[in-house]
Amino acid sequence: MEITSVTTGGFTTLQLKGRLDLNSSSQLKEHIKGLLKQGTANVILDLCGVDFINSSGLGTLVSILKDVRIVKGRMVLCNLAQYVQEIFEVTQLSHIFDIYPTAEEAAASFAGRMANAY
Amino acid sequence: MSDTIKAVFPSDPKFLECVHSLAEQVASLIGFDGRRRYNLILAVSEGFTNAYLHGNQRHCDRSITVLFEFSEDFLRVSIQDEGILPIDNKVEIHRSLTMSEAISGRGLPLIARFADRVALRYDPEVGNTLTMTVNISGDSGSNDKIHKVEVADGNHIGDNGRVHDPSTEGKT
Repeated sequence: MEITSVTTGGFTTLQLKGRLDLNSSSQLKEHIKGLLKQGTANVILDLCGVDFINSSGLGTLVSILKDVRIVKGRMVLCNLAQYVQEIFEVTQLSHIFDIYPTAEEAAASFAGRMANAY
Repeated sequence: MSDTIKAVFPSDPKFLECVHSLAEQVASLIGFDGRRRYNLILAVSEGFTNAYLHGNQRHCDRSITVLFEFSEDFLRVSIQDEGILPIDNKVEIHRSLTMSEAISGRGLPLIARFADRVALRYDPEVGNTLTMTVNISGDSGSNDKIHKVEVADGNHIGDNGRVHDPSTEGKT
């Protein structure tokens, strides 16, 4: 799995490319662990390049979400492909994750929260 | 009359990509596209992962056999591990897809959601075999059907992956 990381405006966007399954799950989890250690607690996972996800990938995302919550951070998802979105709906994880259609809308959700905090 | 494709993989998640490719080729052979293609690849990926994690208990020196049998009417996929113990149905099967924030346990319910029939059997001589059957002529891409998973103890997963225990049916 390819992971591209961009930090801007108080949050980090991770663009993922490839399949999110048992093979790639640990790689993503380690990457996020590194971010959290560095003090980055607000994360956008841009799944535009993820064309396949299975239960291992879903479990990893839930695990990461819990880790982010522990440090009082926030993680949102965006740009889900049609079938990936369907898997989230079937498993009802669409109710647990904040999911945005685009990266811009995901970023705006952070901007809005930060503005409200001041 | 049916065609058969059999592949034996090392029990290692590194081979998931090969398993994925094989399922993709079978999907093309039988004319699955769109959602049905995705669902077949997903189901086979889940079965392989389940065999590695729970059947072979992450032992990479074992193998996982994937068998595709297909005709004009049906596709049957069997995934066999070399587990020395039956997959713990209590853990893996007695889950529903409405389990909110659980980290694991969605594999078999996802397979059950997309295949027409799923069976899990354990034979001490062989290991665990997960068999999923898809009716090719039917609308297997629909999410609205009632699905059934059979397990050795006679329980099955029904609609939405919930477990039905025949011994308690009718009781409240």
